[in-house]
Amino acid sequence: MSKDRLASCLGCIALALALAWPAAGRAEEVVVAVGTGDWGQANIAAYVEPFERETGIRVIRHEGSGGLAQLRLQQESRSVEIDVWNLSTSWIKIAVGNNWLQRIDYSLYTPEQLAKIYPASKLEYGVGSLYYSIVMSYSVDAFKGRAAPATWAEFWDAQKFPGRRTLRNGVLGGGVWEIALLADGVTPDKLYPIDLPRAIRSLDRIRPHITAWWRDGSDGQQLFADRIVDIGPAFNGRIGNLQKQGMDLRMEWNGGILIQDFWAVAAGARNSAAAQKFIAFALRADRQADFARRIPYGPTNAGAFDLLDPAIGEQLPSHPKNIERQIVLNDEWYSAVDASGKSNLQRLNEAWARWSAR
Amino acid sequence: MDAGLATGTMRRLRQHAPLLPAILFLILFFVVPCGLVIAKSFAVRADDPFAIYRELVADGLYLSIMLRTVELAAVTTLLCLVIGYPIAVLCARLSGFVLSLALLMILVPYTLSSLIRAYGWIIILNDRGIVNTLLIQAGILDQPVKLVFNGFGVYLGMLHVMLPVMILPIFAAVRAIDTNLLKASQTLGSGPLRTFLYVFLPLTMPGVKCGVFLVFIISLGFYVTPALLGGPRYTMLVNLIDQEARMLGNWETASAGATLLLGIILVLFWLMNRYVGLLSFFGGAAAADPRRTRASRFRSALAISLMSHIGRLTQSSARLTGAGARVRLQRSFEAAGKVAAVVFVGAVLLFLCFPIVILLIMSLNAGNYMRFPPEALSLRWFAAFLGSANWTGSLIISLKLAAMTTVAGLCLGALAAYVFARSSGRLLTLAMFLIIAPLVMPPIILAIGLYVLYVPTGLRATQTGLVIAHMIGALPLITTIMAAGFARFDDNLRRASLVLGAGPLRTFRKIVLPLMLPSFVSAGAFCFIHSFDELVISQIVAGVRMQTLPMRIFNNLQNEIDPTVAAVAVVVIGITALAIALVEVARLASRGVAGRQGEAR
Repeated sequence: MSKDRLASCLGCIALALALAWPAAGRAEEVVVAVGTGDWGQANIAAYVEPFERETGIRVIRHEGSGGLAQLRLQQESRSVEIDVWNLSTSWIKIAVGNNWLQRIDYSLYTPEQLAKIYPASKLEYGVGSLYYSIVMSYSVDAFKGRAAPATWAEFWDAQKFPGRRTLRNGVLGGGVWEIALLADGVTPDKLYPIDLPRAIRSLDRIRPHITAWWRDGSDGQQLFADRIVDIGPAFNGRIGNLQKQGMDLRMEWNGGILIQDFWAVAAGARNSAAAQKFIAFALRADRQADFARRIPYGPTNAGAFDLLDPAIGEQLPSHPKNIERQIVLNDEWYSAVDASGKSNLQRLNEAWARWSAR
Repeated sequence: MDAGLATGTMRRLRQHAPLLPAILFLILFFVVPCGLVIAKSFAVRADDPFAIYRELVADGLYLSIMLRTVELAAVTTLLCLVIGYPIAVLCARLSGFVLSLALLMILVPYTLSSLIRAYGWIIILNDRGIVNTLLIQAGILDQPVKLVFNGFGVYLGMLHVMLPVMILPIFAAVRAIDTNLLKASQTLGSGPLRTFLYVFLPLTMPGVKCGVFLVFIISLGFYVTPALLGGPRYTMLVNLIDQEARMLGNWETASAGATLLLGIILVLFWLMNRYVGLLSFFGGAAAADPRRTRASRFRSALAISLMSHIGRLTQSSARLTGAGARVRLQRSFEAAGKVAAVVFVGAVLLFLCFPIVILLIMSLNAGNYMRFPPEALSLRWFAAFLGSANWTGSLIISLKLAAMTTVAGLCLGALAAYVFARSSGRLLTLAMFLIIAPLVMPPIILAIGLYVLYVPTGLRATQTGLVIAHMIGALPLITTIMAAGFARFDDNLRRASLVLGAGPLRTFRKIVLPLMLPSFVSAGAFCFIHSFDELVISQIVAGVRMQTLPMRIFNNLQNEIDPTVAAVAVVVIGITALAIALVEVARLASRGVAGRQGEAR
């Protein structure tokens, strides 16, 4: 055997080893968008780590928030990196319309689990991950010795209920339009389709009394934490955080806007089977109860409430008692597309930009 | 004739060759990816390629918001010029330790992430913030004044971000002035005002133009600061583009908006360049444009007649006061002027550093929120930052990326700047626009384009891919600063070195580098900071396993505003301060070189 042949043989063996070794050593894995901050930490502690322990599947935690842009890029370039996505309601609709998601494999769920998951959470292409609410929140201190507003109509009455107000802005999100219409006397069953001119007239009236607008939850939380504002709609989880740290804040569930987030699996995901398994795991009652103990977001599996201390359960947005008092955000209407190809979400976003620039 | 043409072309080609790497780089990684995305805006409807554009223009929303964006940038530029010019002039008179300190106080705030900075201002300026509380306690106010979530907050925030960008180029121009010229003007009988208007001001114009250009163009792309400090009324065009592309995944509309923005800005610059010679700091290119001469002759005639009027007015008013009184008046003016200057410089520098001090104190807060004043003091958030492998890992990645971007960017940018400073022509003006363009393009559009390009080439989720992405935005900064430096560089020294037998490498090391060191260092600093702060493109192309420091800060701020980010900001500022101290050492060292060179003459 010549030296060259020997060398090339050795090279082949080395190459084969190099190719085979990682494949043999590689455990099954799945890439999950776990989010960040307290919410991300709760996702990791209640879902990711127990899932890894129980199944031996390694979870790659993705913290980024590329939004819909990232999903579209990964789909169109056929380079799906993230298997399990956490999507808002309107994103789910856009994603489904473009075939970017795969069907949820409901055969992985036990019949008991399926029976307990809220019907609104069981979509063909997504399963509800949590409920959160935009609820009127106020500092007890600022309303000491006097009544705080109990309805949005009272919140609109700045003469009778003085105080520094905040509102969520209308950038790509629900909440402010519904609240403006409720304040103007529209009944919850007549909210949709949103009467845009009426909502804008209502917003015109409150605008001079708003100290600050928030958008992302963080900035809303900071406004209350720094006592920059006294009252206004805020995410219940954010207010819950502040309460936990000893701030005397109160929430009013009546007239709250209830919103759902979803787990979804990307079309063409490399680890589809593990991804489906992960979501089914995250929909278990015990896991959701564990999650809710860490952060006050509501379960989508009603079975979780059986495992939770009622004192905690009643503080969650999707507790049956609280659901009754709130308005469920109408995703169908938001994602409905008109003749020009624009969704109501887009139209509202443009209306907001136009109104706020005035 | 053919041979002559060929040698002419060859000569021009050789002269322009150093420009090629930067141009090829930008064509490949800027023009192609952005073109890919923008092409989609023409392909929505097969029968009508301009459908989206017609819709956008008819709609009026994009246009009105674009006007507001241009207005914000223009007012910011004006404010920065009015405050920054005197600061730069006064700082240029300083020397030694005081000068180093002043430069430190100007540069360090520039490295603060705009998100953290905005939160800092909200905490400082709100109705119950420290400013209002102090004013009320001092009895100056009985009611809090609205200082944030309005126009005041926006312009204060913008001024804070942009002031250093205005001050530094003007400072460099003032330092480069030969003071003998000012003395000559005085000796020849010009008063201080005339000397200023005819000698000093024109000599500082390249710096002013450079500062105005950078501040205006960078302000156009700002959206975090206005949105957070001004509320919904201060929605900028880049806000809309970013929302459409990132949140709705609709880059057809987003890139159409970006094209409109780019088009309007290019027209604006073309006009400004033609009539004001805005880009002449770039070197010969714009100044030699023959079409400009008539306009400029008219302009200078106007300026001269205006200024001689002012001069005559001051002279006649001076004649009215007696000679003795005049001297006394002049002396008291000088004394008052000195005090005013010290107070003014001190106030502006304190304004620049104020948020850093507040951030430092907030990072020491023992409680869970960024709050001022803090409830109790502790180092727990520094421990949280430095003790977390995630945070330190991100810090190290970002430092590494920034270092690589700086080295690679300086190579391309310095070569290009050398050509801009030496030669001129229509092609060069075009090249200049290409190099500037990344400053104007909304980063989300470039990010989407790069992703599309990166997937088949395997650059996605690699450090190389991120370095390339960061270089694109850094090149305009490097080229602008280096071109201003090369314009003052005596090329004969380089030629002499080559003639005397030193090879090109040795010439670079022994002649070009030492003489150009200040420019290299300040261009490098801006490049480093750009890479260290880049968020939008990194978020899209970094993949799932790599998180740069700005990405981690952003993610952290999305979900909670705990003092870790303040601690991060303080550590970053510490690193920057150290880097700038090194810059200062380099500056002093280069002054040593310049001194020796002077002796040799």
